[in-house]
Amino acid sequence: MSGITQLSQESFDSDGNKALRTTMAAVGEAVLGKEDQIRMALCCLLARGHLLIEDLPGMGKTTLAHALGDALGLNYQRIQFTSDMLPADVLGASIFDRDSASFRFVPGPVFTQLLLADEVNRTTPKTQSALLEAMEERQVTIDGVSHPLPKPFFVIATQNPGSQSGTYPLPESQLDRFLMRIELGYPGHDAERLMLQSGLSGQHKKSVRQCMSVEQLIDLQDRVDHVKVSDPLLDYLQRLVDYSRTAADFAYGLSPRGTLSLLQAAKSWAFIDGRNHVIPEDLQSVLPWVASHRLASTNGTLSNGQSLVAQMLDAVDVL
Amino acid sequence: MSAAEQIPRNSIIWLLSAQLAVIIPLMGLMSWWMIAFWLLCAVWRVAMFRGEASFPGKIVRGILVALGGLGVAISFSGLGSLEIAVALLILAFSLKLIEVRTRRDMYLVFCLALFIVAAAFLFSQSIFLAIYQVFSVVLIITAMVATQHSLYNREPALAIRMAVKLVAQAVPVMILFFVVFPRIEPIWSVPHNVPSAGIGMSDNIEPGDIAKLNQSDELAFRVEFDGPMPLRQGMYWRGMTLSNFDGRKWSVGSSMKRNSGAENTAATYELYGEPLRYKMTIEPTGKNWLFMLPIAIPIDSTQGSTMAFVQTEDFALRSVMDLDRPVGIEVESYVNYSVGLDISEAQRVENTKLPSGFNPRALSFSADLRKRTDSPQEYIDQLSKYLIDQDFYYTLEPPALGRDTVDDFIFGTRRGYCEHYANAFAFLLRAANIPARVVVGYQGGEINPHNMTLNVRQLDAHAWIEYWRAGSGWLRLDPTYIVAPDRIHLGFDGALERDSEFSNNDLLSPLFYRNIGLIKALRLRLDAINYMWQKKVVGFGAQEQRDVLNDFLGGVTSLKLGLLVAGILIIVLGTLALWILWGARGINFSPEKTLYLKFCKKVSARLGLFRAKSETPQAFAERIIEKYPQSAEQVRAITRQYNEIAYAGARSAANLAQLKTYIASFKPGVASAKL
Repeated sequence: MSGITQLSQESFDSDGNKALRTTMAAVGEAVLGKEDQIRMALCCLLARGHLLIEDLPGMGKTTLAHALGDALGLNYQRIQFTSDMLPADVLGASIFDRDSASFRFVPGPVFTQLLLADEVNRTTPKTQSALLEAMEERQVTIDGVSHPLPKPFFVIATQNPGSQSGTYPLPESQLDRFLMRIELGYPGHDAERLMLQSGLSGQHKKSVRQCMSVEQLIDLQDRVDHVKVSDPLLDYLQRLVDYSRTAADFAYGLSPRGTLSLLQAAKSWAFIDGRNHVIPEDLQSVLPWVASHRLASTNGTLSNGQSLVAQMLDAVDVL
Repeated sequence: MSAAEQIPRNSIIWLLSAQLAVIIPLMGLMSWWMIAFWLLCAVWRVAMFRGEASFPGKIVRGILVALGGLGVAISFSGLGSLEIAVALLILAFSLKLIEVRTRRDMYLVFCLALFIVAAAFLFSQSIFLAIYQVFSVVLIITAMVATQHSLYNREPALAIRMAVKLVAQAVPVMILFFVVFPRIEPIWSVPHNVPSAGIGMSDNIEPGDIAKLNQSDELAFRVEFDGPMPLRQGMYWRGMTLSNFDGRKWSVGSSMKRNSGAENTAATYELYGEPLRYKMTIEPTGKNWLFMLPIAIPIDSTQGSTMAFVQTEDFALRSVMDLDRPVGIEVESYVNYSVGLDISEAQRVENTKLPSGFNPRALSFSADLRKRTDSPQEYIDQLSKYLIDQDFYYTLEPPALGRDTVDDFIFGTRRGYCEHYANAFAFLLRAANIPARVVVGYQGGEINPHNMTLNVRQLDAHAWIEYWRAGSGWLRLDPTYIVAPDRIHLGFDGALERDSEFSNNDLLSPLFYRNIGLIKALRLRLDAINYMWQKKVVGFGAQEQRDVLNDFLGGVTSLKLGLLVAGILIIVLGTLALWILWGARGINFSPEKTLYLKFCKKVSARLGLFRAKSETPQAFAERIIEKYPQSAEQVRAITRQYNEIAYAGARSAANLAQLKTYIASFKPGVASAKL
């Protein structure tokens, strides 16, 4: 990435950029050695997308979500999903109020700016779909009354790899609603040593300072929408998408929603990089995280989404 | 092993079915153990595929190869080198199955399969095999396509469609080459497969020999008459005369060994009337006897036939070469003739000779009859009458005869087949000092109404006699006709159909089914098609090719032929080129892309660096700079300018002109002070 920033023009919006950089730095203090993932999570947030973090337990998924919420000054709720959870536990319910002799809607934990949905694949499909519908519609309808969700609304869901016992894997249709899926992975040697030395742990969580106001965040999101996209870039994007739809190794290609997500993420990435236009590098950078959970290979386990994305990038001409 | 090298899973099924399809036409050649061998390899392969078995090690493979080679050595010891070669090929083909690991191996197996498809034509060139092999080829190509591409692997219907398309595209090219490609004499010689001994006539017979032949419906030859076909009962396809008798066995005598044109022969003959003219296609027999309506004279065809014939003293025709491939000849036959008006003393002795000590009862019967008759002709008439009066039967399954075959037959079994009658009759004539000999050949044949050809098969094999009469020469006499006229009037098939008395009513015998109406009609129709194929396609040799090209070009010169081939190639390739150009016509690069590609070209030409497809302009720039830091400034400027124009929406004439200048002044590998 470093080479790109070097080459690109000077930032068109130094204010916004500065705020983003401090945010990244602040989150990076809590989640050590994961700069790329933090940047990607931020990119996802600026693109108004939801984020799915998939990794083994104890890899810092929750820590990342907390740190992001703190740094961006969002109020956040956390739902720890279990297999006996019901939709009402997430969305809220109408409760009879004796004083006013009427039903009163009591909002569930989903009514928040940042929702941390922990271990989303531990709960039943019914509850999963309640959450995922709320994510897509950005509103909750109970007893015929629609309740809009706060703005911004951002879900960070974490899940354990599907092979773990006691999980209900999210179907493709629901995976599609997450703009990105990222993996944290084990920390590097130095980062882990630093973590051990500083005594960081779940019990002694270091609070992250707020770097940005909510209004500022919404403003940044709006500005991402105005990042310029040129025809040659759209050509490249369409070539990529076409490839995923026609190449033999792909069980199915990217959906139009996937295509839109890809573009939005690329714009957001360009914005974080301080540009007002998207270049092919942006697409290439976000593609693995935006596309891999939306693709499946024809020969089953032989290759996963990541290798398909690699194949896609290799095969499609940038120019 | 990378994913690209791995064999897609379904391909195993394709591979096995292609192999089976290829092996089927050669099943007749293979011994049972080779089929078992293939099955073993196939089962092993499937087990490997399912993870239940592992690849065989070097030692196991070595043992299998040795066993297979040994098996071929034992099973094929009596056969020609061609059979052995093909057997080894099939063996290798089977074994390859358990060795296939990568896609490359698969292609090897497919190529081998195509080779075996071609090898099958060494043993048969019938149209049915040709049609079958088209399917085999489609199957092999399908398997290839399915192995190549996982989409086709997943969708067999698509793979088949693709294979059919490919094969269909190849057909015009194939036809073109078939017609115009020069027929080069093979630079190596493939040993032709000679029918194994026992099929066809041999040059000596004993009672019972022909009955064996009659069990086979294999084709002996086909005849196409110019003009109306003569009556079937008159069609005695005369082969050899057997005048040498040792008491039991008749064999070829001295006059068959002499040619008619040789010195000191008594080859006098007179021919009357108009000859019958016909064309024969003779199946290979591995021998050199030809079977003709007497007296046959080959037409020296203008086509310069490669066959050479000799006429024996007995007016039989012999080819100089053994018939080891189907041959066609054109013949004129004079069916009204007198031959051997004078016979030499040597011939007379040979044709009346009876070894002593055989058939005493027949000899005394003959002496008795002679006393009662005045002339040889009356003797013959009385003999014929005797056959009719007494209880003689014609049967395919006569009882066995003892040492004195004639005695046993005439006074004992009285059930016999054509050669029993010929044998007895010739013996009794000789006993009366009338020169007589046995003639073997074919009688009648089956008329195919679809193309008006006469098919003569092994089951039409027949034996009759010729006796000599002063003033008339050699005369034909068919004792079978006396006993069973149906055999001659209706032909073997007809008699079999009408009168089951002498047939073997064996449900398992293929002969039993020959004449069921529908089967017969179908058989004749298929036969007509196959004959057409043999004549027009298999028989399309150098001469026919010259004729066709002559008609087409009006005189073949190598210049014209060259121009024809070149012209066709130009038309085909030119069309293809135009089509490709037409497709590329729509591609119109944006100006900045054209310029940038020019830059890439410069870099690749001067610096040897090629932009990978997936490489963005900036990444490419980084790579160039890393290797040629002195160019950094120029490369960066060009890349920045390009990115501005292409992605930042700064496409303007001025910016494009700037980019053009940058690229024009770009000197790869040379540092520049300013740009």
